[in-house]
Amino acid sequence: MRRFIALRYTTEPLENLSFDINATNQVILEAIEFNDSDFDGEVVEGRLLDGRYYRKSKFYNKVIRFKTLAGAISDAVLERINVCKFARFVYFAHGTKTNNIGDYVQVAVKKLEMEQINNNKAMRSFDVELVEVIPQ
Amino acid sequence: MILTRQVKILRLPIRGVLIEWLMLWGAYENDVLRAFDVEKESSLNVEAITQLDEYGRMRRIGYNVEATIYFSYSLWEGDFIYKLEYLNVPGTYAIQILLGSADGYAFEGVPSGTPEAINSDGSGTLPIPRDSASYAFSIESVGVQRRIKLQVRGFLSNLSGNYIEQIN
Repeated sequence: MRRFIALRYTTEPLENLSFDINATNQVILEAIEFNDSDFDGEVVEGRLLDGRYYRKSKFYNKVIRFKTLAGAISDAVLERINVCKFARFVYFAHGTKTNNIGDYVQVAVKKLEMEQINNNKAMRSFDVELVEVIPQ
Repeated sequence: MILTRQVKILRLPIRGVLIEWLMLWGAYENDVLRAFDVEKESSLNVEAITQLDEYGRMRRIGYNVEATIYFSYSLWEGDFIYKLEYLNVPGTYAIQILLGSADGYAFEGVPSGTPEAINSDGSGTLPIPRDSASYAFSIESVGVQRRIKLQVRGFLSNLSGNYIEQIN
């Protein structure tokens, strides 16, 4: 099974989260590693006056990690990917084909690193970590 | 032609190498270097570059092409050293490796009068485009003979669109 991911940035929040393959400021890449079953959050813990210990989750958000299949990335696409690191609104979607990519979810980009295999621009791969903006 | 279990295997020794510089792309000179009298130690290696996916499967992302080509040189005929040294500006030249009896295409091919490749019953061409072709050369002396060792390196994202092989 293959995995295709879409990253899109906008200056205004999206009103419609349905995936749009023709959207501007979007890149679609194939992932060779994909994991969206991890969470990042914050817990409070301590001891009450009566000695009872507590540990409570304040919130937690889904974490999405993926690595893309290396390939030739044009300068225009590279710029779009890099803008995602700083854009106000970033959206992520994924599917097993480019024509069955699901709805967008808003994410924050925690890590976006490019690796160039054999120092060759024709083999650029991205290691990405995203956090869903809306907590679970 | 070698027959093993009714599979025809072409014999494709390296016949030569063509390097074509293009003025259009900023080279100093519009020229073609042709080396055909290559020695039998010459070798070609096309190796797949892979990435492993999350299931440990290999995904092919391209091919590294490496060839080492030995040929005798003359400072007067061909002027190989001048061309190879002063025209080595990456991005301004493409390289074509010729196998068997291939004459090359798109470039100025094999000049008339060049002897046929021996021990060959097929032909193949492997062009390396300008954006990935590179080479380095050195000079060796073997016995009384001097020769150029030309190391060619390139990257192909796919073989099917580049490597052309045919039975003569």
